This record gives sequence, C-alpha cells and structure tokens, in this order.
Amino acid sequence: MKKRNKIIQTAAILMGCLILGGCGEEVQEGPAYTERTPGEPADYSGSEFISLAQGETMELLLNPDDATLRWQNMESGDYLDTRLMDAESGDTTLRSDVVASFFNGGTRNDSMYNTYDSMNSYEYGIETEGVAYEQLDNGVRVVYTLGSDAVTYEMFPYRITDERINELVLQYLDDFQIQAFEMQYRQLSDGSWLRQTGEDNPLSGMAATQLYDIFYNVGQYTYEELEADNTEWDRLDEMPEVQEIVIAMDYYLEGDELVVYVNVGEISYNEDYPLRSLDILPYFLSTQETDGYLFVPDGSGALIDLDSTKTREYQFTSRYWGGDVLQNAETYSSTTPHMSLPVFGMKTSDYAVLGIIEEGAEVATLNAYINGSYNNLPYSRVSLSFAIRESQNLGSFVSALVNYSQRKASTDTYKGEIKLRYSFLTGDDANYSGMAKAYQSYLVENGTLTASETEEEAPIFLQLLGAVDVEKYAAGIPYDGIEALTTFDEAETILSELTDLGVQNMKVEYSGIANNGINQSGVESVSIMSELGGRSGLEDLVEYAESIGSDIYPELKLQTTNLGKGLARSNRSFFISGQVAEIYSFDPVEHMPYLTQQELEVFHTYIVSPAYLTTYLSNFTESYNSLGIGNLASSDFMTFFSANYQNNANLSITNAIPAYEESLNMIAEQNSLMLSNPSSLAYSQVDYLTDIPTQNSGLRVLDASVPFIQMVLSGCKTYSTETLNQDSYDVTEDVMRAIETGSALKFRLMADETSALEDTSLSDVFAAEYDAWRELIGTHYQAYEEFYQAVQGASLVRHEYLDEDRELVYTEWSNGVTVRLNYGDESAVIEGTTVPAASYIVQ
Amino acid sequence: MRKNSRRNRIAGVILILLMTVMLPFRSVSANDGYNYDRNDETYATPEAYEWTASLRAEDLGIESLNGISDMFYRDGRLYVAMMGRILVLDSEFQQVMVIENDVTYPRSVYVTEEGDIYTAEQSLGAIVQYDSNGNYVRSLVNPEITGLGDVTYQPVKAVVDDAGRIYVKAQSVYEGIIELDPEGNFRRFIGANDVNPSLLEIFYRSIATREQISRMQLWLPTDYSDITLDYDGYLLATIQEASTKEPIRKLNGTGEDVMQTYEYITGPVGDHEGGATISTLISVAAAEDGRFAALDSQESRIFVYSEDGLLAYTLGGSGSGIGDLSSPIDIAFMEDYILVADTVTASIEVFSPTEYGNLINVGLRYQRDYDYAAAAECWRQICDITPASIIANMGMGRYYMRTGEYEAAMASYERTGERAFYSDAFAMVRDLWMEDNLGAVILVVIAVIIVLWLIVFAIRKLAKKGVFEGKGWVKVLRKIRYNAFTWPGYMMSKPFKAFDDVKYEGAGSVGFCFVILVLFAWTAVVSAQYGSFVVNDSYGSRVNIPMVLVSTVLPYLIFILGNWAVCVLIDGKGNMKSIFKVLMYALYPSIYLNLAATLLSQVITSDEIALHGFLVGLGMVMFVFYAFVGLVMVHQFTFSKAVGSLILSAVAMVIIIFIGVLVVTLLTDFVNDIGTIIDEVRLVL
Repeated sequence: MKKRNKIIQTAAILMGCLILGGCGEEVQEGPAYTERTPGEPADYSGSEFISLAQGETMELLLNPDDATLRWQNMESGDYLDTRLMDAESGDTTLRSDVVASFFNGGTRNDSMYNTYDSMNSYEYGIETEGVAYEQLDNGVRVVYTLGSDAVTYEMFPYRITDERINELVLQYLDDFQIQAFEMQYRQLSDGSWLRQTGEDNPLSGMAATQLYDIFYNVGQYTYEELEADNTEWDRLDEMPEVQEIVIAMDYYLEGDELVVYVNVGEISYNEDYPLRSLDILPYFLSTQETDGYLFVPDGSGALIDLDSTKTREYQFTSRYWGGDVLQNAETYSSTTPHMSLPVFGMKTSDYAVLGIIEEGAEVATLNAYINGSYNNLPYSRVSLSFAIRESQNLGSFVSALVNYSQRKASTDTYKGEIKLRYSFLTGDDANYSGMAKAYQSYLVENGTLTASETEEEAPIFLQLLGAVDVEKYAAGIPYDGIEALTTFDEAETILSELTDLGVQNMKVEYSGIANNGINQSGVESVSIMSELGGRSGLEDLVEYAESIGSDIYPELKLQTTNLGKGLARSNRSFFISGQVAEIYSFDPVEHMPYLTQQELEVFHTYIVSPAYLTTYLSNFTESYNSLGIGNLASSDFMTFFSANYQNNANLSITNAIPAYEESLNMIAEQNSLMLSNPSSLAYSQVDYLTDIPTQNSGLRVLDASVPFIQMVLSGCKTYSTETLNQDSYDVTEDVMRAIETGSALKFRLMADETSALEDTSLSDVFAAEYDAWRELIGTHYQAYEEFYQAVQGASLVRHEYLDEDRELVYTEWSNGVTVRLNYGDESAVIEGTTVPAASYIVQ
Repeated sequence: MRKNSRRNRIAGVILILLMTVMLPFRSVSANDGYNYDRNDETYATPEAYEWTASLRAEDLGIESLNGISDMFYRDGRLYVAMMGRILVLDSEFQQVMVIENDVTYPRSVYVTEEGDIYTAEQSLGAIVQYDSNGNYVRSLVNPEITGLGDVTYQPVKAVVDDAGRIYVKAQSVYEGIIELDPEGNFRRFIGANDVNPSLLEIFYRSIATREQISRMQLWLPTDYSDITLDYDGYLLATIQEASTKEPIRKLNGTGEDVMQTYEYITGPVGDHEGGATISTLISVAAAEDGRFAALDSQESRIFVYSEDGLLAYTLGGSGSGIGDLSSPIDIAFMEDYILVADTVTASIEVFSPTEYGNLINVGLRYQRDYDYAAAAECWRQICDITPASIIANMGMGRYYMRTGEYEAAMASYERTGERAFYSDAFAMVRDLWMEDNLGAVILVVIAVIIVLWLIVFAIRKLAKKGVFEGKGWVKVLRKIRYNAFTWPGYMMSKPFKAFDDVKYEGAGSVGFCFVILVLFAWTAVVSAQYGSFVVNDSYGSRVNIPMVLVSTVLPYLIFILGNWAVCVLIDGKGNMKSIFKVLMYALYPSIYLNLAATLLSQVITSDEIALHGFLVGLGMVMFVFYAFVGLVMVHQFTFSKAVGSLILSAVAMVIIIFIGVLVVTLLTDFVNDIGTIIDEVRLVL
C-alpha cells in the first residue's frame, strides 16, 4: 500500500535497467538448457542475460533480475524482449509481459459488476518481488504473484463511534476533507457514524482514493483499528481481502519458434474479484522503426505502415473469428473488421515475426496501434488481449452517491489454455508472403490443410437465388406469398447456356430452395420448395449438372433462421440481458436496429443456441442426407460463433465452440461442404471456400490489403472471391483481383428481373439478372481459365506491391509463373515488363 | 494526389456519352446508399458515389489542414479556406498558390467569374477581397446595418453575384441575409425568416408571467447556416434547425423562395419524418449542371438533389471505414467529384460517381438540355435497378408523355406519387380510348339493358306460371330480396313510417344489420386497396387491414353505445337493438355508393375528383339524414331534443374513448411492469 515507496523502487529498477540495457547484448552463450527437471524451482540470479535454450538460429535468454525474456537471432543479433526495460515512459505496462484485469466493484452473487481494475506484471510483480522461476525444457516458467492495492469499501469501518473517529481521523482533517468524509459517512442519532457505501453501493474511483487518504494517510487509522471496529459491530466478515493473482507463464523454444503458454484454468485469484481479461505480451511485437508494417489478418489480410500518421483515426481492434456475435449486437458499425485466421505479425527493416494463436483465439482481441496513437507512446505494436470472463454493459445508473455503468458478467468463464507461437523470419521470408508461407506449412504440418487434387478446368462459383417470400394480396387481404426467382428448370437452362459459352466446372451454390426460401425457417426437417419444382425437380437438376461436370450445392443457413418457425424460443440464443438474441438489421437513416417486424421486408435473424446446435444439426443431417445430394453449402455455418446466456445456462463462446466443431464433423461425414469465408476452425473439413475477401474490411487506419488468406489456402483448397456483381455490371477490376489472388470467380444470378426483388429482403441485390450477365460471364471465365491453366496445381508464393500507391502488383507462383498487374491508369513497367493501364500479364 | 481513375465501361448508352468518368478501383461497401420512395419509406440503392482519395496536408504541400472551414470550386481551381491561409489547387489537386498575407481565419471563400476572391473574416468583421493572383485588394468592414442593435457584425459567409452585389450571412443576425452593394454599403436584408408561432404558443405567452416569458426561448427567426450562389444566379441557403419544413431554400432577387415543390413528393429537406427535416444541414453547394447538395452534420451524410428538388442520391455517413466521414464541415462540387472537408481527420475526402451515380448525373444533364429521349435511356436503367426511384420515374414519365406512350407514363408517374401528373397521363389514355371505342361502348350499354330487361321479363313470365312456388331456394331468395331491397327501399322512401315500424313492430332484421356492418367494413378495405391512385392516399403502401376495419367500424359502435347511454338518461324510448338497426339501415346506401365510387375512381382524373367525393359524400349525407330521422322516431324525441341528444351522444363518445384509452394504457403499463419485474428477477437469478 505504500505508494511512495513503490515509486522509489520503480525509479531504482528503472535506473538499473538503463545501466543493464547495454550489457544485454554481450551475454555469453551458456549451454545450461538440457539438464533441467520441469516444474522444479530454478534459482536463476544475476542481472545479466543467461541463455535458456538454443534452436538453429534463435536463442532464448533470461535476465533473472527483471524476468525479461529475450528471443534473439544468433546470426544477426536482432532480438525481441518481452518487456521494454529501457523505455522512457512512466507507463509500467511497457515493462510488463502480462496485464491482468479483474472486476472489483459489484456483487458476486448475481455477477453484476460496475468497475474493474488491472495489475501488470511489472508494477505488481517484479517491483514487489512477486516473481519466481521454475525449470522447463528449453525454457522457463515465470510465476508471478500479483498483489493489488485496489481500495474497496471493506477497508473502512462499517460503523464507528464518534469518539473513535474524532480521535483517529477527524482531528487531522481540514474542512474540505471533513466534507468529503461526510459524503461517505452518515452520523446516527447516537453519534456514531455509518458507512454509506457497501456491497450494493460500491465505492470507486476518486472517492475511494480520497477516503483512503483521509483514513490511512492523513488520519491515523490502521488495519488493527479496523479490526477492532468491525469486531465491535460484529462485521468481521467484512475485513478487506486483497486481490492476489498467481499466474504462471511458460516461455520455451520449439525449434526456432518461441512458444508462450498460460494455463488459464490454473490461474488463482480472489473469487470476489474475478479475472476479466489477460493482456499477454503487450509490447513484445513493438517497434519505434518507421520502415516496415504491422500485419493484421483483417479481410484478406491488411498492413498498417509503421510510418503511418493516421493517429486521429480509430485504431484497429477486432476479435478473432468475430468473437461472440451477441456482444454489441445493437450497435451499428459502418465497417466491421473480420479476422478468419488466428495470426498477427510485424515486419521491420531487418526481420519479420509471425504470431500464431494456437489456443484461445476465440477469446482473443487483436489491437494494433500506430506510433503515437496510444497514450502518445512512440511505439507501433500489435498486442493481444484474452477475455476470460465475458461481460456486457447493461446500462448506466445514476444515484445520489455514484454514477456508474453496470456490467453483467457471464457465469461461464474461459478455463482453457492460451498458447502463442512466434516465428522469426529473415531474408527473403521477412515479409507477409513469408508469414503466409510459414503459416501454411504450420497448417499442413498439423494436418489442417492437405494438398488437394487439382481441378482440370477453372472452377467458377455461381450463386443462384431460388425463392423469396413477399407480401401478396387476395381480395385486399394480405398473405405471405412466394416469389420464385430461379426455378430448377431455369437453373438447368442457365447451366446449359453457360456450357455452350464454354464455361465449365460450375459450382452452383443454390440459395433459397428449401424451407420458405431466402427467408428461411428452421431446417430440422428439410423440404424443397414446390414453387421451384420440388424434390424431383432438384434431383433432375443435380443429375443434369453432374452430366456436364458441374455440381449443385444447395445452400442453407445452418446456425440461424429468419423465421421463428422451426426453431422453438427455448432453443435460440439469448442475450446476456435475458432477451432472445437476434442479428439485427439497421435502418439506413439513423442506424437504429429494427427491433420489431414493423417493416415487412425486414426479417429477423435468430440464432440457434449452441447448447441445441448438435441436436438441431443432427436432425437436419438426417433429413438432408435422405435427399441423397451429397453436397451442401452454407452461408452462415462456422462464419461466426454465438454464446448463449439463457437464464442460468450460460454458455460462453469458448465453451460453445466444441458444439460447432462436433456439428461440422457430423455434417462433413456424408457431404462435400462449401462454406462462406468460415473461421479457420473449419478448414480441415471444408472442400470449397467461397466469399474469401480479396481486400481488407476498409477501415481507414489500414494502409494496404494483401492476399494473406489466399497465399495460405492456395495449393490446398479451392476458394472464390466474394460475389463480383454486388451492384455493378463492371467487374473488370474484380476479375483482376481474382487473378492477383488466384481466387475462382463468383457471381450471383437469378432468372427473374431485379424489380421482382422490390419489397423483399433481397431489395439490396441490384445486379443479379442472369440475362444481363450471360455473355459477360463467358468472357470473364475465358480470361480466368487462361490464367488458371498457367498456374494450375501451383500455389501463390510471393505477392509484392511495387509502388507507393500500391497500384502495381507482382505475384509469383510455385511453378515459376509470374503475374504482373497494373491497377493504375497509365501503363507501367513491372519487373522489366511493360503492362498497360488497368491490365495484367501472365508469364 | 494519385489519380485513381479510368474510363467507365458500362454497357449500353453510356458509351456514347463521351464522358470521361473517373471511377476509382477500390469499392468498399461502407454506409449503404438509400433514397426515399413515394410513401417516404427508404429503399436501398447502390452506392452513387464512392470514395476515391483522402487529401491530407502532406498531399497538398502544406503543413496542416487544421481549421479547414470552406471550399469553393470554379473553372478548374479549388479554393480552400483554413486558419491562416487560402489554398488554391488545380483540377489534379496540385498546389497552384497559397495566399497567406492578410489572411487571419477566413470562414468562407468565394470566387467570382472574373477570378476575384472574397473571404469572410469573422473575427475582423470584414469581407476581404483578393485578386486572382492572391494580392490583397480591399476590406469591407462594418457596413452600417440598420436594425442590428447591439449585435457585433461577424460575417461567416459571403458570396458575390454577377452585378457585384455581396450577400453576407453574419453570426447572430436573424433578420435574414445581408445584401451589400458592390462598394460594401448595406442595402437590405433578404430572405428573412418569418416567425410562425403556433396558436397554442401565442395563447400560452399571453397568459404567462413576465418571469415565465423570460425563461422561455426567444422568438427568434431561424438562422441560415450556409449560403451559396447557384449557376442560375439563385441564392441557395440552408437552415440548421430540426423539424423545419423548408431547410433548403432557393431565393430569387427579391428574397422569395422559388424552390420547386410538389404536392406529394417531399422536397429537398434531408432526412425527414412527416415532411419535416430531422437532419442538421450545415452546408450547401451547387453544381454547374443544376444539382445542389446539402450536408447533414448529425449523420455526416450528403444529400444531392436535382435542379427540380428531387433527391438524386445520398452519400457519406459517419464511421471509421474508408468513405466514412468523421466531422464534415463543408462540401463542394468539382466537375464529377464531390469533395468533403473533414475537420477531425483534417482531410479533404474525394468522392467520384459510380455507374449508378453517373447514370443519374447524365440523365439529369440530358434533361437539362431538354433531350428527354437520351435521358430516358439513363432513367430506364435506373428503374431496372431501383424501380422505386422518383427521379427516374419522373424522367420516364416526361419522356413517355412526349412520345405519346401514355399508359407507360401513367405507370411511371404512379411511382413518383404525384397524382396530378399521373392524372394528366390517365386523361390522355382515357380520351384516346373513348375516341376509339365510343361506338362500341354505346352498343354494349344498349345490349346490357336489353339483356337485363329480357331476363326480368322471363322471370316474371315464369313466376306467373307458378314455376317458383314452394321451392326452398326461392324462399331464401325471396327473403334476401325482402331484406336487401324491399324493406330498405321502403325505409328510404318512407323513413318516418319505416322507423316507426322498427320501434313498434320490430321491423327490420338484426342479422341483416350485421351483414350491413360487415359489408360496410369490407367496402372500406376495398376502397383502400382498389381505389385508384387519383383518390387513394394509401395507394401502393401496405394497407393495414385490421386498422382499416377497426377505424371504420369502431366509431359507429361507440356512437351506438354513447347514444344509448345518453338516451337512457334523458328518457329516450329506444333500446340498443333499435338504435343499432337505425344506424345500420342508415349506413346501407353508403355500401353501394362507396363501391360505385371505388369503381368510378378507376375512370376519373384528378379534375373530376369531385364526382368521387360526391358519391362518398352522398352516402354520408344519407346516413346522417336517415340516422337522425330514425333516432327521432325510435326515441320519440322532438326535433330540438333529438339535436340535443346527438350533442350529448358525441360527448358520451369522447368519454367512452377516454376511458377506453385509459384502460388500455394502464393495462399496457401493468403488463410492461410485470415484464420488467420478470426480467429483473431473471437477471438476479
């Protein structure tokens, strides 16, 4: 509690570090890392780096004095430290390798909290000597005992006699302080004083600090006196318990890769102050350099330049795999980042580092800060935060005493593991292409990706729109009618006409063909729409498609429904506030969620509760498999994950994920799967990936898009672009993007006219008329096919921007084929070849 | 700036337009485009403009864009006013010059056709003029403005017309826009806003104490937020105040608002509810082709209107993505670009038209040149993509009227919601049809009459022969004839006697009265659903059937209840049953008249609306007459007592409605409270 001492200590250690900073690099290599017994306490000491492990090129070192881990390249001498001991800022987070955040104000019984606090491993661990080492193969386990100095109401007597308070406290106070005291204590008729704050009415912020000062610093109050008072008024159970978090962090080398491991289930903390989140290695991937970039896997992959000056923009922050879809569901956001792969990275002028989240990605948030954006600190960095206990803001409350916002926390917490793996990339691999290659080989090694058979002809993905419901009238009385947009017969015509135009290997994602069409009801029992031609019509179509070497993939929503029908209320996900969860649409004017079905063209999207998901989908599988199609597409399955906060059956996202994985395996058993940009969790089971973005999400803070996902997938999976014909008939540039990224083309088509979509839930589909596209698809397919034949079976190994505006692109494939693309409006020379404006050359 | 552009390549007509349209490569769906349809409901549109570039200080060769306040474009030069300087850029956004001498903090910049640059220096109270080379020419300070009182003269916007007249918008001046002569002397105020307090406000003020009045808001006329001159010499001005009906005005030389208005289409007001704006319009800009745009600071959104005041498209919107805006302060048209100055990101955001936006722009340009055929090609494509587009349907309508395709014109005008235009087209269709078919119509009418007469003749003949005697269905038919025709006919021809029978002999059928009630409600639904566009306000919007039914039937039922209650009190002799019968029989003619009116509505133009009104009105008059007579008879009232009882019945209706509303409200609150308690309990558990 003695803050002043701490500051002195900090300063002392800081000085020590500054002196030590220089000696770090001259550490002698010591071969002491093979004979250790894991788990035994280790007595590392000294203020110089000692070597713990060596790989081929990388070495792991420890400075026992301040628990700094150094991951160093033995050839170049480049290194990364887990804490920045020589930083000039007073912010101790820079010198921390873990920051633990916990709830402190609120009530444990109903999981309602209103404040939280945090402790970092430097100020609350190193400085208070709460650090110990244990032996580990090729590394070390650092055990922190973090102590809190958070002020709570329990530090002040529940009731105290007038006599004692005057003697111990009041006589030392000035008028202003007495006034502050009287804000928190009320005098009873017998003269004694009663504390105004308590469990239900917490003390926090400035008021807490001030009261602490009044009692313990200005006044002469002590914990002994507190115990005496609490004994007198029979309140001994209220003695303050201090937060103490014991957390073990493992650092070890696997080959040259650094692994950081935390077993969350084994972290101990005071249950009254439950752990909320952990920031792991906040400054490990940080730099003050201006040459290079931060890599975030947003969209296709995105770069933030280290010399970016966009400090006034919103900084990048996003949950992996979309996090929990229930969080902030009512908030409109014009641009939402989406990360399908659990990776991150940084490149400086000399090297690049790729980070992979092996465990815990579903609770991880990636933050990227550009130089000067975070507390004006001169560091560009990427850092991770892991949500241990999810919570949601229920609203703000104002009372006479306090003004606070109330959060309700989930009772289901993350008890799994956090495991991060870092790869150090040098030379030609020290860039995002290298990162992608490293991640691809990581996925191939652990069996997630396997090299696929190459398709003879270029695949093309066609999403056909089946049927949509629209309000119709009979003698003035409205009813829900069905508008058939593309019948099975029309689909057959489309396929045969396109075949005549030379289009081959069509993968048809046929949406809205069952259970009420595009606005779909529950799918526990699948019934093909008679308006489109019924089950026999579909069977004929499937047969026809097979005969021309194409495939029909009926598309169904598997984890959401648009109608309540077919999904009982109790089987839906619930918000933490207790309402049935929905994925809202927002009105375009004021961006308020459509909470009720006021507008008939606005439909609901309910979420199948993860607790029910396996049952739901096993019923579905049974019904669907009986159709005997063997192909299945889904636009929502595995693209996001939902928790469920129904009554007491809280199921957090992390514990919900096994249900999704189990369902996936069940469905994939008998079906070839086509999913729309799914989470990387699905990669091992999915055959075709559609809608893989070729750009980042468009946040202003991002400086470039890179085809990271495509570089990871190419050679292993067939993947397509997002729908090219969103609202425009000019897709030349999008086709170039497809060639740049090696993505198959994807079009959305319907036989009906656009005007048929008016007042339906598809009213924002503007350019899907097949008639207008027929010839264009033929042309674009031929162009793509030409490129495809050149790179068939190869994988994209290098992607590079050659100019500052990032309009000139050079890509290289594993079979030696290169592609030069010029997105500019003037012809340009790319790697020795002149490429006309808005054009490309495959060589 | 990098010129991220290329030739537009869209199919069809656009290729022949020979227009180089700058299209950016990056297309990001940020804030979605939308527009309003004829029912003022929003519909989704493709993006009309997309983000092309963000120009920051470093791109423009200056150290900062802090305090950027205004932009103006003319003849290949973009002028940007900001703290301490005026920046001049060429059409490639390359710096031409920076005026820094004699510049403090200009709040606006305007350039005349001759190239003279005028700025408004708020803090100096001056309009400052520079020549085209950026040299200081003169300052016009503190004109003697009559009636300004203690207010300090702080000009924030200044524009100069062809004749050298200077129009100034000054801070805290509510008398209107200040007009100065070319020498800078005050001439007059123009475009003063009238204060229109509501009757209630006037009443309240008249009874309020002096203290209360002082605490109330001042009755100040609204303040203009921005002014500009359009290329036809009109002064465009925006008013930054919620719920204004005309927040964008087009003022002529005399200060009169000459903005095109419509009977049914909401004019240029930004986002709106009930015809009044809900936007905060802070900036206005005019394009050379007649379009004008207004900027809403609340949602960071830009509304672009055609010359005739129709919403062409929206763009912008707040957010953190590319093409989103943070805190926009000013907009400008620059050839095909739309520029937005953003203060938070300290940048100029450049937007350029997409295929969709370009189609609208080109269509408008053709329309301005009276080339309706070429314009129609654009509008046709717009209608394919967004069938609800008012601006495109208006263009199509005009085109079809010219080509004589009146039926197509009808369909297009119907989409715009303007009934007068629709009706004009319909009148043409009808006249042409009548010309062609008059003979046939007469023949058909004669044939129908003959056939009907023959049928009646045959039935009578058969009846005489006794063919129909004793048959069950004949009895039913006879009963229907009696109830539906004979008795009502008797009632209508001899109302006093008939209603007397109701009172004493229980004449009339309660069952049939219920049939009347149902039929009457049905005619309301039919006229809401099938009444022609000319007469039907709810045409094309989704009809809320239960609402129509309730609002049709409920007043009569409440009246019956009220009248019965009153008459019990004042000793009326009628019971509930006879009151019900009276009212229902009185309503009976309306069923036929309403159906006839709905039928008639299909063949009338808006000039002949009176006919439709006459039929509906006749039904109401007959209802009032027969109901009155009937009530007098069943209650056995004198005339004056009957009138009195009706007034009291009306009062009783109000009370019943009041109690009904009260009960419903209390019940709703009760149910909500129970719900809240359940929620709370659930949260705690």
